[in-house]
Amino acid sequence: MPTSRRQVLKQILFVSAGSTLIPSCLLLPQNKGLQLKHISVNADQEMIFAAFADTLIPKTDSPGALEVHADLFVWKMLDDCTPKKEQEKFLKGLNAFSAAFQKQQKQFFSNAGIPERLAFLEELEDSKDNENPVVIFYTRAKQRLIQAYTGSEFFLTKVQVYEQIPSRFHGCVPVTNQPIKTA
Amino acid sequence: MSENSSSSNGKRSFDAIVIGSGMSGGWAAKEFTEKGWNTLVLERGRDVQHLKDYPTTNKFPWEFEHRGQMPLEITQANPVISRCYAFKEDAAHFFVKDQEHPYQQELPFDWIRGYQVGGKSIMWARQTQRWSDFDFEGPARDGFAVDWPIRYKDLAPWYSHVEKFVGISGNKDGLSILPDGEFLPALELTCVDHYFKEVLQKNYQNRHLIYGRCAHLTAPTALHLEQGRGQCQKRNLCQRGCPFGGYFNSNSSTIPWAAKTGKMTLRPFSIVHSIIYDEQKGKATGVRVIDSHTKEMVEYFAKIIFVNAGALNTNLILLNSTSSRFPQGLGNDHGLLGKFLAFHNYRARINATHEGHLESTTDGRSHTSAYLPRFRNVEKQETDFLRGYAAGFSSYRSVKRNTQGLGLALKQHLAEKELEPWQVGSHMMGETIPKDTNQVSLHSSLKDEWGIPQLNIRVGYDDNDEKMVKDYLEQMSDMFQKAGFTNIKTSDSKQAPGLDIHEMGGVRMGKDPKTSLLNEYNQLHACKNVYVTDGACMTSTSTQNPSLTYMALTARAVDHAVRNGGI
Repeated sequence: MPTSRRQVLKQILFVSAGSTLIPSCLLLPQNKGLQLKHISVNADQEMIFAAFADTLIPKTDSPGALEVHADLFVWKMLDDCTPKKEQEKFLKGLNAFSAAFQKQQKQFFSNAGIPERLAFLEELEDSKDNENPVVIFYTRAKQRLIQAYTGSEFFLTKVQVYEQIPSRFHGCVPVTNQPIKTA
Repeated sequence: MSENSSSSNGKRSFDAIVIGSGMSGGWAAKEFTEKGWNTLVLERGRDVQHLKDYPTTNKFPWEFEHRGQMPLEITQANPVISRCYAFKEDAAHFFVKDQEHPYQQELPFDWIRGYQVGGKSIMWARQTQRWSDFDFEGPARDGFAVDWPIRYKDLAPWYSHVEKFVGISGNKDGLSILPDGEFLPALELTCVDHYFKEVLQKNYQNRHLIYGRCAHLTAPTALHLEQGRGQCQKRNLCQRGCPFGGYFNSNSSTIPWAAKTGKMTLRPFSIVHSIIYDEQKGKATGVRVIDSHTKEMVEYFAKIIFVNAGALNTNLILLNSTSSRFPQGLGNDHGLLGKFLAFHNYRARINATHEGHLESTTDGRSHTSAYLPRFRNVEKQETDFLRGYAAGFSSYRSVKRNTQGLGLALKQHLAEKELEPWQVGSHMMGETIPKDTNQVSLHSSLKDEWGIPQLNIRVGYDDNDEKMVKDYLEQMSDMFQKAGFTNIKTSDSKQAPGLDIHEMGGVRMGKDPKTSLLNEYNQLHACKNVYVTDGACMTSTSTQNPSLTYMALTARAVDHAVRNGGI
């Protein structure tokens, strides 16, 4: 099924490029297949996670999770810095997430429209069922994506500016109400 | 290396040989060469040149492949070094991996090493406090180890000498427990540091919170500029090596200073096998060096030998320097070499929240924190354990990360800059008591890659340490409660000795050759042209971060060696 789905997608891409049916991640230049050392992630998993990232922190007039490659960073950290058990849990969780969405919406998460995706994620966001593997996955994946997004060059240069060379230390200054920038 | 291939004694003869180029070796090199002595500096690792060999120094956080975290493959293969707080993506290349130079742990011991020119001075935490006579008189008063052969007045001018060159920022606090030095301006304490300081003043007789004294150029003098070093820019990324030379390490300071005299020969990749003892002359004549790449053994000769290999490696070299006069190791007539090791107990921590001062925060970055000098058993014995502990104290506010929601709402939340309340924390730095059971020895059969015996390390905690951990946590909890801090959490990491990176002793100083290895000028009692001025020489540990004392002892010992014309 996954393989054929890919082929189908390719055909759709061929005949109707730009159509809303196409997951946005397919059009992104970084989507060239992952180069991972320790875990194997198939194209569907990669695509669904990219769609997840895109939904969680979308592009507006500023970059979202996909534009800063937050999804790829999460894969890298999962591959290089995560114990085997956790890796397996994450991938199983992703599959459970995908299956649950499909069951409810009768389509792939990455193919669904933004309102359907958001509605599904809202349910998980509000869920108190901490035993549910889909909820566990949601929480963990969200955590990792936030780490990736807030550690990105974009975020640390445009939103909350990281000062490499402060050249100063003041031990006691008033808290100012700094204007909030839009991420 | 031209001197490597040369077989002529002339090219392999020097006035002085310094083994090691770290904190104390760098100082020996500087002092000897400034006094006109031709000096060979032997370093077992590679060369690391200031600026040129700091590959990560200007990297931004997002430029690190794993944002600083070490890959699991590396941490699993290197459990010991991975426990070190600074073994992260930005500085890992300065640390010795577990398999590079194996050792045997008879008891758990994390031996943290940096094999390169500059040694651990590149990654050190830069805290520098003088000892006082409360420290030097400790063993004699409390009946442990042996009496130090020196007192504060012997070292005070050398502390000054070193401080002026290194550059130490701090305040003149006027405390007898922690003598003032030659200070550059201190940074500010935070509002909450000030508040806690006042709480301690109100409630206790002798608990003085001060600004931590540290080796940073807050206002460089002509002497620092002449070294090519400049103003500290508060990056607090020191472990990578500093592009401004804002903190002290051998690489930016003592080593290039020595090189500038034209009197220094620096030989990296040179592992010292042993010191050569000449029975006719009754003294040491040189060292045997193994080239770490070719494994070829070369001998070098000098009038004076300074052993600054880092405390445990200094023990190893002396233990391995056997001759018919010294079958148990150089200067070891009584079997005391390698014994009475000690360290600093860093096990306990306390953290809490401070609900007040919400209108204030800090701005910029600080390269140190506040410091609470030892207050236990200072004037007299008053607890059921010997000696005491100093404590670090820090207070800060983090940016709260609001991760509620998803989509546009989440994106907006992530950009919010709301501050958390103040967090406060402290860690202990406890004195441990040297014992003959805390010791290193040579393994009878296991050798390293260069055919040198591996080191057996047997260093553990004792009942005194346990009582001290308990007391620190009780006292600190009490102080935190008096300050009204909430959510107080204490912890005992139970970390193995060694992780403090303050291992000391094994070649201790003392008045009596029967009970010590070194005299008051750090000369081996039984082989006077060999000096040991790194952590191995320490008779007791007190609570201060030790590097400043090693540097002062080194400068003083070189002065002695030169004034005596090479013994």
